Amino acid sequence: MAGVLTTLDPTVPGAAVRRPGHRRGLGGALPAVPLLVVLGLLFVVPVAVVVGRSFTYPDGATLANYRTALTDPVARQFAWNTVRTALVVSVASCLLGYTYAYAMYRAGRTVRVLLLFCALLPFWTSLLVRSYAWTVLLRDRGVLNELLLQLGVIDAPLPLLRTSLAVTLGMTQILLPFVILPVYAAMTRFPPDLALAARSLGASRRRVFWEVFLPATMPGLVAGAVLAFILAVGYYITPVLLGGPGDQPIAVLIENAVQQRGDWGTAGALSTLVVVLVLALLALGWRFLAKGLLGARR
Amino acid sequence: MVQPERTAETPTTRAVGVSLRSVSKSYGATAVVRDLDLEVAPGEFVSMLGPSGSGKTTTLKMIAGFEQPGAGSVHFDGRDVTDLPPERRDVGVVFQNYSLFPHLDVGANVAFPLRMRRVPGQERAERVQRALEMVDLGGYERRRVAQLSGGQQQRVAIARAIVFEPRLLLMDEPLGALDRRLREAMQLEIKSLHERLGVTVVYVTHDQEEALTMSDRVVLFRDGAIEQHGSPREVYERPSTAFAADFLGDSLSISARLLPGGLLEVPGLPAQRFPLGTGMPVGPVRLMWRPHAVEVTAPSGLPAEFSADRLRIPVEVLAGGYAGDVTRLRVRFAWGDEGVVATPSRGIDHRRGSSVDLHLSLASAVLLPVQS
Repeated sequence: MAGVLTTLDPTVPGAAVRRPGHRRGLGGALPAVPLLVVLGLLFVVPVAVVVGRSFTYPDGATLANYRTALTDPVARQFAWNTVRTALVVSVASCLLGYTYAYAMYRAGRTVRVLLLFCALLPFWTSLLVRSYAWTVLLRDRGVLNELLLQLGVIDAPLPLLRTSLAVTLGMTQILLPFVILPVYAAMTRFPPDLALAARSLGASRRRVFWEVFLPATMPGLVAGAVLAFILAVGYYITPVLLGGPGDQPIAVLIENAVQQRGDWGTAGALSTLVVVLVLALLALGWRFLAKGLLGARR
Repeated sequence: MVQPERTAETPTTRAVGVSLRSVSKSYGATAVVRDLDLEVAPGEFVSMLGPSGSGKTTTLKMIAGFEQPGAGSVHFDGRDVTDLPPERRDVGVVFQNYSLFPHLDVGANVAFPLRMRRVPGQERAERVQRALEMVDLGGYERRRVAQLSGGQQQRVAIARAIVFEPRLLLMDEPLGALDRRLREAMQLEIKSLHERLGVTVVYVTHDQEEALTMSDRVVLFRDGAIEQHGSPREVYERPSTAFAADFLGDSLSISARLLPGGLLEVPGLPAQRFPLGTGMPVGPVRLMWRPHAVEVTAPSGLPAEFSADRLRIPVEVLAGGYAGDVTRLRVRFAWGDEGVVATPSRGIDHRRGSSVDLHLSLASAVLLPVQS
């Protein structure tokens, strides 16, 4: 996310604009080489091993693992859980994230910095801790239920934990910054004259928002949505801790295949399918991702 | 303030008269516009000219409704529109940076104001086509904005600002981002568009040549107030202050002194009767000439002379710049005044340190008050 953050300094107008005199082309990418090498070793190699096993485990070249992964009703159920949760969380993150980014955009400097700080808070807390914190809030004798009982709003504790609602809450909170940041970056790049032009052409404030501001900042929102969805597809701890049986993601099945049964073949096939889905999404959303995170090249 | 001639081509446009009455605007403690009064006649092409920070753009924004005056009022045809939001003022605005909507194609950009006015689809398409043809971009409806050159983008912006037949067209340095040749071509196009549409135009620029070329009237701004206004010829040839003289173009001016009895004294020369009524008090003044009113000849070697209404003064050339038909010279008088003159490019030694004679007629001089 470092690349996103540099485009987001709220004090520098148009911070995303390239500084002049920067080297172009491949030569300029030299400083990124060490990181690329590390990424290659730590990411590409293990993935290659996993993919390789999916086609070779347990004995020689086979597509049997994919047949299992694609036809097994349990796998299908877990896949649907994963995609459904990711969709709901993405939509929720987009709605809340866009609203939050818009508040940051409209706020004065002090409030904006404060809002940015709050948006980034989840980054500085462990995923596990945050997920457990939600269980403290949502369980039957948790903070929320106690409060509602005390106030007399309810007579018996609401079943909040181990529900889709809990998963949505927990994951949305964690993924929100990934939507807020690109959306806010897109908003800071919005030329204020565009809104004035639209006003002079007969658009009310409301229509300026819906017909000019929202479409012009849409690349940022799409970038955020793609990021949130991709990250949500790979989530493990949060749905396991907060969700019910119907919310368990594909990651649980993969983990189970390896840990309980040592079935590297099925695990590899499932993992490969997830990676393919993510890459396909990236391919579809890449134009928006690049535009949303780096800004339109002028 | 003569109404420009209108052709039958576009009979529907109603031009509006604009008046600003005692308008002031401050940002924090900084007064940007101070107690400004301005009248723009229906159909008039008025340029607001001035250095950056002189309040011209802020004034334009108050006419557009983007900014609210801190005091005073804005009127269209006598009707107070001070509190009217921009979308209800029926004013076309063209910005320096074009401000086209990046998510819409050319046709949709131009159609935008018609859509806001709920003009039905068929009529909308026709009007968009007509507007694009008017700016020489017929058939560009489906193009993406990013595919167009700067000049083409600005034409789209102009088409978008006129397609709904606004009563008033405001332009904020619309040609500032274009290169010189394109800018000059667009100046003439905008001018002819103004004549064809008959719409009132208020045009902001810091380019004096542009203001002089295009306008019926030039309004010169300085520190949030109007320094001088009048026809281009008036303000150029008869500036009322040294600031106006300097800002509107090259000039040559010398310090002089008005004496009792209608006498004028130029440094180092005997006082002469000044042929023109001045209306100025006795004391120091400046005499100013535009380059075209100064005759430059090879040095005669004679001392300066002041007779009847003519001055002949030898000066030193500080710098010479060949500019095609004319050579511009920066010259210095023996007593220190400096200025710029222009002379046909033949027969004059314009190297630094050489000497030329200037022939100055008092009849073509402009008398300016000395600035405190």
